[in-house]
Amino acid sequence: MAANTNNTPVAGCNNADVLRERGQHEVFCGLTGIVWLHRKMQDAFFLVVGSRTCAHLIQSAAGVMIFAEPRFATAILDERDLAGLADCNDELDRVVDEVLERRPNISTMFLVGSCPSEVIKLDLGNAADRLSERYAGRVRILNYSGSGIETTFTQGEDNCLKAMVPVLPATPAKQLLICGTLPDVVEDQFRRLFTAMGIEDVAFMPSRRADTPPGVGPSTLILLAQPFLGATARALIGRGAKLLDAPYPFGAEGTTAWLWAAAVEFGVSAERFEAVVEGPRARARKALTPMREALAGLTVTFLPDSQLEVPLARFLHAECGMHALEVGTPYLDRQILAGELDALPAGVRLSEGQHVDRQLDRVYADRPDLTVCGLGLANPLDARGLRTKWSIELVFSPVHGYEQAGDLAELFVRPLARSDRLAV
Amino acid sequence: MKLSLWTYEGPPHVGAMRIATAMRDVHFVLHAPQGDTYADLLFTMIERRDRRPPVTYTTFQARDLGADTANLVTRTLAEAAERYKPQVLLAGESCTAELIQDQPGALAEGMDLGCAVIPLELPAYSKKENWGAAETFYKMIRGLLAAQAPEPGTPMREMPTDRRPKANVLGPCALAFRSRDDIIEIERLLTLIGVDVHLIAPEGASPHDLLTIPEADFNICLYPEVAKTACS
Repeated sequence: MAANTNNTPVAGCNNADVLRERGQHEVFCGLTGIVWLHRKMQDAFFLVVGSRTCAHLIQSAAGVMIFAEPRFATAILDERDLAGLADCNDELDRVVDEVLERRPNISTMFLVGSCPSEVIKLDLGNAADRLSERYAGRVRILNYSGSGIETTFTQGEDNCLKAMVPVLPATPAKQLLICGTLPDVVEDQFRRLFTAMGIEDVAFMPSRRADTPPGVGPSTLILLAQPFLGATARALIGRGAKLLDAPYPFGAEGTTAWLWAAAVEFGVSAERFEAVVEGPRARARKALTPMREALAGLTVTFLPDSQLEVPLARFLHAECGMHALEVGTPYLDRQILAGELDALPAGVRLSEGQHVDRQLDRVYADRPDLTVCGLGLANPLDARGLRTKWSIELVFSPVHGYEQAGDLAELFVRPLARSDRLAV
Repeated sequence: MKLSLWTYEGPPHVGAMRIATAMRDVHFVLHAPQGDTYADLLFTMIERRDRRPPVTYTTFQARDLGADTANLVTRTLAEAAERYKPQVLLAGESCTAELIQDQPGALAEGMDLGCAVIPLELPAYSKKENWGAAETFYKMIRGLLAAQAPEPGTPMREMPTDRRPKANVLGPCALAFRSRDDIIEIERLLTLIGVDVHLIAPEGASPHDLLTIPEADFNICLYPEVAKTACS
């Protein structure tokens, strides 16, 4: 039955030793999340308070071309701010005024802390309160840190959503709250499935508009759609919500188990659940069949990047027949990855943190058929005859749920097919 | 504080990376927090280079700040020198490291790393990428050639009459705009007018190659934004 889809071996990866490394981390900082957060929340503005490096990062990492006014910017600290010649708070107020004057449609502004603003201990929480008062009734100003000294890549989203938790309206209603930025189309698919099961009260966080956030309360059930929202989940729990224990909705079986975790809580019968998921699950399995043929038996290594590594390794193992050699992740949050770790086979080398030189030594020794890695490493690995998948695609492409299961697997097939074609 | 909606120029340490990446047998240790490695992708993706930039980052975190970040710097320097065995090791810092004042350049100079060390000062809150590139190229040339510099007031060397004159083409570097095509064209034009190219730098040059700069008869400052500081 649906609940038992991930044939959990008792001695899974959860009990294995974890290789913990310190050294050069080849990962983005939390500011990078702004790239997808600003697209999702269409009335939000992200003002990074940082350096020229922060500004340069966001545009290079994102590779965004700007044809209209973007909804993110950087307030670049300069010598005068650091030398105390200018009052940073006055300067910040001036910059915020400048932005908001130009952008009357903004309802929520995030002041995003960076490495330099953290190091000089610029109190952005205080600034957000002060500015919220000034713009009361028009713009809500919130604050979170995306600094590299505190956050890695997707932790930026975690911090952003966590910053919204205190301002969510209270609701006593029994509702399902799905957390994690999803493309609108995927959100709609999930909503339709839950509606068909009879679960009408489904909210998403972040919502498409920051000025209409979901509510939260003691009858709220949290279902995480992304495996990097531990702090947000804990903040929601602090407001009385309950976190559902589920794997992440990757692949036909992962999606089924994820949906079932919610269905059970809302008293959906196994028959009704089955009737709803039968069709899309069959489509997903069908889409996965040719992918499985291409991937089964091949080896894969994940280098740490987005925190998606563990669930995706589980998906590739369980649904595509791949063998994971090393699964590297920036940090291991066992609370929100428990089910996933159990489903990884024993013997997978699990690593946390990074010493990139040593990790690449292991990749060269292992020579996996596919290495999932960041953009800084992909071409150099390809040049050594290794085949790579850019991990950032897994963050930017719709990969959740039944309808995307085939596309998700195809992302891993593509580099293999490409190199086969080049080899002819 | 300045509002920046869009910026084409990066911080000065990215300029330093462009010099290090353009050259051979140079390694750059950058004291920087997690996340600054984004700059690697400029070279591997945008420029599609087939190797990682020769840069090692210290990746300090918040929890290191109360402890000993200087120790992290020396450990990283020693490891990088041992692993990459460069002719020249550059030591510098990005914007946040500048604030905590560990002075990686001075630390590197105080260590026995088995190679030449060139400390860089890259003021992130007042300068930009091109300045960082020009400064790094200048520091590199000055560091390597200071001993060979003629006394001030020494007259210019006469142009040779027994052979074709030789020129250095200075300025082409990593992440430059069309510089690979420009080099081909400039070499062709110089050949047409009877001039040989002695050295192109920093692109493709090693520190040993830079030592031969004085063997050429004159310098062509092809990209002033990178080479003007060094040429003057």
